[in-house]
Amino acid sequence: MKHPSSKSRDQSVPGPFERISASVPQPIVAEARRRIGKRGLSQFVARAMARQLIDMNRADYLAECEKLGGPLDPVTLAEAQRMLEL
Amino acid sequence: MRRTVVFDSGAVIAAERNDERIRAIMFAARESRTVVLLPSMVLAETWRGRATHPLAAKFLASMDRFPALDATAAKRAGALLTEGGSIADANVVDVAIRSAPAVVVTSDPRDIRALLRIAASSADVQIRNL
Repeated sequence: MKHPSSKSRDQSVPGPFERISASVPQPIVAEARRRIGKRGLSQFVARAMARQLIDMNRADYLAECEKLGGPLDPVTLAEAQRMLEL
Repeated sequence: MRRTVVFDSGAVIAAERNDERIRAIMFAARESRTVVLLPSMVLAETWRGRATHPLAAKFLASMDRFPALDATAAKRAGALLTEGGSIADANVVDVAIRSAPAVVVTSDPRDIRALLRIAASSADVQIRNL
């Protein structure tokens, strides 16, 4: 069955979707609603969760690299940091 | 604002070998919350199911997105192949142009440069040779 709010769903975060219940500090919810409006909170939470999971995956990857290859060369890192700058 | 990073297949192979330049790019990207993309054609070229190298699998799990090659994107990529080249490279160049400012991290800078020339786009796309 189609979810009633499916029209507003974020297409960049692929489904299927699952309804969850989570406790979030009230000031954070209030600030999020102030920034994004009444609708779109699910999309906001989905994006935040996806972003956090990617960051955790990146940390896992980098930890494995360090385990296999030792610490990163600071010169190579500085070069990469410059490459990302505009 | 940072440059979006777009990897090609050579970058995935380098990641599998624990190439320090790829590690550094991913470290810097994590630090600066830079968006990192792997076009879906590159994923198809490098993903081998359970046979995927464990380090490559972790690297692939670190991507922000795998931009899809839908009909519209496929036509844009196909239009870049007037002088030959691979569909995956055309997909990389198309994704980079649409995500600009971007940097393409590639083991094949000559082909990427040729496709960028054909695209004749004014988008800010740089090439990082591996």
